Amino acid sequence: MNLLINEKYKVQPFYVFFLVHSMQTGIGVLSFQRMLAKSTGTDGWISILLAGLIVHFMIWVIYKIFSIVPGDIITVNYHAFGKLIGSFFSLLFVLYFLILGLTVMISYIEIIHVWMFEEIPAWSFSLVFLILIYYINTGGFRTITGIAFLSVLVTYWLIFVFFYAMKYSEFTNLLPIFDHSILDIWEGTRNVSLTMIGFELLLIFHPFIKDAKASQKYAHGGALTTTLFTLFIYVVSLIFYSEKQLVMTIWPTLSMTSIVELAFIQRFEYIFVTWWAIIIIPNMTISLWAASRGAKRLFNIQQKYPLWGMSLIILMVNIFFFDIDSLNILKRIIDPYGVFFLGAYLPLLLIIIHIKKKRNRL
Amino acid sequence: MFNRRNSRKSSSQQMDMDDGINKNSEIRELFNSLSSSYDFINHQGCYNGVGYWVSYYRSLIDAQELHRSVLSVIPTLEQINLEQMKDSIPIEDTLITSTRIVVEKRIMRGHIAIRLDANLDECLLINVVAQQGRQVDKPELEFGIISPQEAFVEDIDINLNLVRKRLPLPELQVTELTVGSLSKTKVAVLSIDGIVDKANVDTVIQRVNDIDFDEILDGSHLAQMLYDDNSTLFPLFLNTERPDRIASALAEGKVAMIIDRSSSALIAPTILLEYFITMEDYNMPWIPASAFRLLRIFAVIFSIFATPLYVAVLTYHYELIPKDLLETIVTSRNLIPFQPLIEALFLEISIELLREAASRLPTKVGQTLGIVGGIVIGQAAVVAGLTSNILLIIVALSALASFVTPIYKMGNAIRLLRFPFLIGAQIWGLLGITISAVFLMTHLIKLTSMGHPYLEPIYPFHLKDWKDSFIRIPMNFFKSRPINLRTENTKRQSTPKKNAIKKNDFNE
Amino acid sequence: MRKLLPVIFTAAILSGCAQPRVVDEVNMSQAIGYDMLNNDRIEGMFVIPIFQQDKMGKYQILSGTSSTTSDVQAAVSKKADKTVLLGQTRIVLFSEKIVHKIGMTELTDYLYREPQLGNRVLLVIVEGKVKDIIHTKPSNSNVNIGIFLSNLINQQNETGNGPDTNLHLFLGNSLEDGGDAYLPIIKKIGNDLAVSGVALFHENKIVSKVNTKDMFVFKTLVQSHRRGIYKFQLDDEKKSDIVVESIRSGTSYHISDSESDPSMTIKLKIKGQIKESMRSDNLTNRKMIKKIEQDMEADLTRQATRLIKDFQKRNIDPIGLKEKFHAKNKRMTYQRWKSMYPNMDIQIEAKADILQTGVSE
Repeated sequence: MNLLINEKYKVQPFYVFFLVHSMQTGIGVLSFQRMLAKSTGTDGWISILLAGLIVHFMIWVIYKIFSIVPGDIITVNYHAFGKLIGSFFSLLFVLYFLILGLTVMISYIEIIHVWMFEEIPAWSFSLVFLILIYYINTGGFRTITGIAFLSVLVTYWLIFVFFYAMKYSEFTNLLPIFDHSILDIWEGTRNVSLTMIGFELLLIFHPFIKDAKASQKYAHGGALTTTLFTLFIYVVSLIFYSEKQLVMTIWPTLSMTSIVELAFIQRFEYIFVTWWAIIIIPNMTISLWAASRGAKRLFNIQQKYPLWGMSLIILMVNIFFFDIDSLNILKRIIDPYGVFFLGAYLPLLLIIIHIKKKRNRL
Repeated sequence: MFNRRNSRKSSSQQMDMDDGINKNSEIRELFNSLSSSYDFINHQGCYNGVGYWVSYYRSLIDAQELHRSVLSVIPTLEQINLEQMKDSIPIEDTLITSTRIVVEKRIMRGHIAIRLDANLDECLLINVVAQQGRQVDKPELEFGIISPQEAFVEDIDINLNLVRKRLPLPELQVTELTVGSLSKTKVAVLSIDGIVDKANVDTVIQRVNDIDFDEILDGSHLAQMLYDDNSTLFPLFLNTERPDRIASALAEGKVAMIIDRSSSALIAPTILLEYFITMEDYNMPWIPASAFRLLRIFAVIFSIFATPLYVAVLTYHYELIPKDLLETIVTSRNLIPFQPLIEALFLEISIELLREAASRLPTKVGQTLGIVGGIVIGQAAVVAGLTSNILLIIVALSALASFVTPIYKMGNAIRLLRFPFLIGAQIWGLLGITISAVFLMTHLIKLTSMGHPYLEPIYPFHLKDWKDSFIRIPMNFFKSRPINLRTENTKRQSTPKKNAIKKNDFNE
Repeated sequence: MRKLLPVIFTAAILSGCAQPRVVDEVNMSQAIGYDMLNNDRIEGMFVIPIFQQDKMGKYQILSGTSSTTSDVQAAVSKKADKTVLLGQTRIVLFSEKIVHKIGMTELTDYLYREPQLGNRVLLVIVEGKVKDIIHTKPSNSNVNIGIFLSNLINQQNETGNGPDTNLHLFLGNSLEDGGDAYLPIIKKIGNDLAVSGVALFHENKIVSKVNTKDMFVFKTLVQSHRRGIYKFQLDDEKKSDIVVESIRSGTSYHISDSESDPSMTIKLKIKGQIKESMRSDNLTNRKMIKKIEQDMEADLTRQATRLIKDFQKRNIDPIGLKEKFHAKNKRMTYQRWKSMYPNMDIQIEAKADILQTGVSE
């Protein structure tokens, strides 16, 4: 169950920043404000900071785990629980990554349907995305990192939209603060978690990082950037929309861009929606890569076979079950269950490994 | 190569069988077989009672040189034998041998063979090769206004001379290889010892040696066989006709190849951004140099995306058009019966046609065709209602923009790249363009040139190498060689002393 | 199989090709008007430009009736040679009658839900019939009536006394408790179209209007602006008119939130330049300027107080004082606000600052 990755295929530690940041930023950023505003309103920033803090803690846990047992989650599970139970948990992770990728894809296709092409069947989009994902995956982890890196690089200019939106903003919407109970804030933290997940991919790509220990600060940096970015978007949304409007709008970030009017582009939201594909593609790619890599390690097969299988599953889901309901079910799986699983399992894993290590030494 | 190995083997076997006679008859056999060609001359002469044979390819040698330096020298000799001749003939490249392969190879290279009747198996080979070919001329493809006006010609020695003139140092190493079982092309691999990463040189030599093809006629021809990835539009080896470009690449720590009978030399490994660099960029102050370089990169982006964007916006995203432009755009498209894609393909293909035709035709006709085609056909198409004049402007500009790349092959790649994007735009509008762009991005990330990432310094990200990429910062910042080349000696200039302590203070 | 795969993919992708909406093969509506017919049906009118060589500003108006606003589009499409699409719509006109009958929330629900319409779409209330407005030939024959109207409103908002409006701003206000929002009103006066005031909404209906005279003060109260024209009379024996162009304005609120006696002070600050003075006094005179400033402050305070008193009487809050109060006091509920607002003590303090007097003295 041990693995060694050739130095040639490893990436520099600072790319972890981009991997974590790009994986965390995705579909959630477009719509998290709605649920957060519903539960926490003007105090949503506390929830975001709290969620960010939890993410930092989880990243610390992950690095702690790997400092005890180097490798990836499959190795760790094996060491912690033995072959049978360990494999079961690893399988859960594989499933989780697969569902994560599927959710991201379906969510994006839904956006395309609503905003641009309602007439194109979902499987058609997913087929093209899957071909693209396969093409990126065949380049190995270095190529995946490259796509994540470039996607962050070429999309950050979109941030100007939020400054533009400030022209139409009402700053008193930010007040009053400390208006909500702890319970509300905790509820908000839960709501924002879908935006914040993505760091857990570290569990799989950790062995692909050169000098992995040094990469911890970059992972934290990526998570911090995401937290601040999310916070920024939330604040802008709060001042841009009135509270009722924010709760009513499904994709507040997208609707916000429709206020932008440039000399040569009348309606900016179409640019925004299509450009967002560049952010979505690494999300899907990394999730599917992680899922197929997990399967490869579990079953000792070539990575392309699980990747094909998963692509086929995704395609089938898109052909037969595509509607808003299925998306909601998927989000439900990711949102309470996936998040709780991560939140509870990882610290537990750390404790078990810690104990095992101590016992071995004694 | 295969053949050569075979013949060598058979000759050594025969030598083993019985020593003298067979081997000697081999030479005679060679001359007999060569004589069957009509341009092979066997001249028989006699002096002082000693008969001798002068044999050569009429078509390969310089007849004047033969008369002046060989035939007219023979009568002045006291004694006729090959040693004597070798000493008194005023040509340095001579050899006395009786090995068939050597004789054959040299005769094919424009040597003459002199044999004495006494021993017809021993030849004196004298190099009187005809130096036919053009003089060093101005660069045609990579013309530069403020750069040296010398370009490579189709002769490896002259080309080597052009490079060595620019790098007069003993560390400049040349390894000569021969490829092509029929063409026997000489390939010189150049590198500067102490700077270049030895692994790169070895890879180049290895790959050249691995080529198993009968005929290599040009540098670009060779380059394709050395590529890491054969199914890509992008050139992975930079071919240039500028000696200064080769010199600068060598100084950076790259490997260069000069190919005999080809006026283009190759540079490897290369990165994508290198193809937008002209040598002029270094001859100008850094601000205009950077500005022009950015202009070129913008032109390339424009060239790829302009027409697809037009197709996408007009086919699917009418919402994007500003209200003041709406009237202009729709009016110009009013009479056109086709979808924007057909309209765009029609124009794109006719422009490609013009380019292709103009490059095949003699210069004068070509110029006329360019003007006639550009103005008359375009105007007529608009009037006839086949295309809109806005698209005509866009297509013409993007065609123009694709020609700003200093390396012609990159221009080709960019012109062809437009078509997949056009198809993407037609299928899913802006989303199609975005997805095609991600495909392109992935392809570029995956590409390597001699195993070095093609997209460097963007990915892998090397901030230090950005000094000479999108922009060129002042020369005093050029402290190190590109990181991706992993050069042995990275320092390009000594760290400047605290130069003349900045003592301005508004001139005191 | 391996060779067949690309063929399958290509076929699949091609079958997933989107439905083209080529610019010259659709009817792009640039303005939409909704009117209420006598039989309780909605009449929708779409201003659709016709693009022709050498002929600017040609347009047609397609109209259809139905019982819902979104269905009108389908009704109209039945009459059109090309499908009617809304993506280029700049302005939506509602008659007073339809707002009265249906209510603004119901009308804007469709507009906001429809992704084809951006957030910048202008909403305008029409005094009288929308039909009359839309069938007016604009004085500038180069543009169609839709563009003309949107330019008119935009121009008023940017350089005149009209407060900023668009779909987003309107929804932001009208979705709050009480639904206090405002929209410009357009009226046909003779052969011209003109902005004739601001309609004030409360609980989904138009409850009051601000007329053109008060629009500058209203604009100053609801937003900080850069341009606007203010005319007032100098308070001396000659009663001469002074016209001031505002260059910058700002408002600040001071709230005292005591349970028994809540009060609020609104401070208006206007920096402006004198555009016209109907008297021959020397304006470089410092004293004269002071006098003008003082009179302007007094006049502004008077006008603003009158407006606000009126709002209080009707219990409407287009300025958004409730949010200001809420920001200060988080326990503020709408019920409580409703009861305390009409009797609240609201003071206006105006501060005028003349920066320039133009090029002449």
